[in-house]
Amino acid sequence: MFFNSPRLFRPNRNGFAVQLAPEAQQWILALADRLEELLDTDSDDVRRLFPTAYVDDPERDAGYQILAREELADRRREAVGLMRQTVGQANWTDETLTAWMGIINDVRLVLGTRLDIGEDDDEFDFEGPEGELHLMYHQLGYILHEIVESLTTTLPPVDED
Amino acid sequence: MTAPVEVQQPDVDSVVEEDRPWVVVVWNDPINLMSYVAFVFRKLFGFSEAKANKLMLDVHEKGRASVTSGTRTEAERDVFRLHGEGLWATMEHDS
Repeated sequence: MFFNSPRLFRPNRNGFAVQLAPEAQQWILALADRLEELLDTDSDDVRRLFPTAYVDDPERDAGYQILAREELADRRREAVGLMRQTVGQANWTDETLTAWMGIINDVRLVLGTRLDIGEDDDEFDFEGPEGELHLMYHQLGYILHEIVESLTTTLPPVDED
Repeated sequence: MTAPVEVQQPDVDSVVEEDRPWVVVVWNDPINLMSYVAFVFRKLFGFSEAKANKLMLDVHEKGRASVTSGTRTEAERDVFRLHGEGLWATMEHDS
């Protein structure tokens, strides 16, 4: 249990005590700002943020995209807004940590798309021309995993089925 | 016996289509963390940890998993919620 307990975001009565360094929070927020700028573009980097719903029916999918795309973008803008309000705070609520989680995941999706991450990409060349991006991708993955561990403690118990 | 009369043919295709359930499919992608995918399943659909992990492993190992099913409206709502969490979800007719 000790080894599995979340370290960066420790559950407490008010939500989570934030142990993630302020510099790391600012770094993530800067990435979130860049993500927000990309939301309104047709950049190939954000295609994973707005997936196809109807694979075999372009007409229906177009209808879905009309409704979903702007809503999905708005939710992300709201989440980034909440991140700006809460960066540096000692304690985050479930809602705040959830906003940070979603945007960190989105940034990873964009980075992974740009890096063309594949199923067998277990080893990265951190020294190569894209080394810095790979490093960011991995650091965000670590932080995301920590958030998931913390938020899992908030899920209601469910009977096994 | 009555004489045959002309009747308006019902639109059989659309009736059949609405009767067949839609299935929401989550696809494997090499970016999303396995722990994140399982967490999203539990959060959105209230699945047990065991069920969420099994579906997540199906996605990872088989490339896809059917996570929910229902009417077109229900399936589209679930797809949208999954898209909101960054998962790669699509919907298709049950076959």
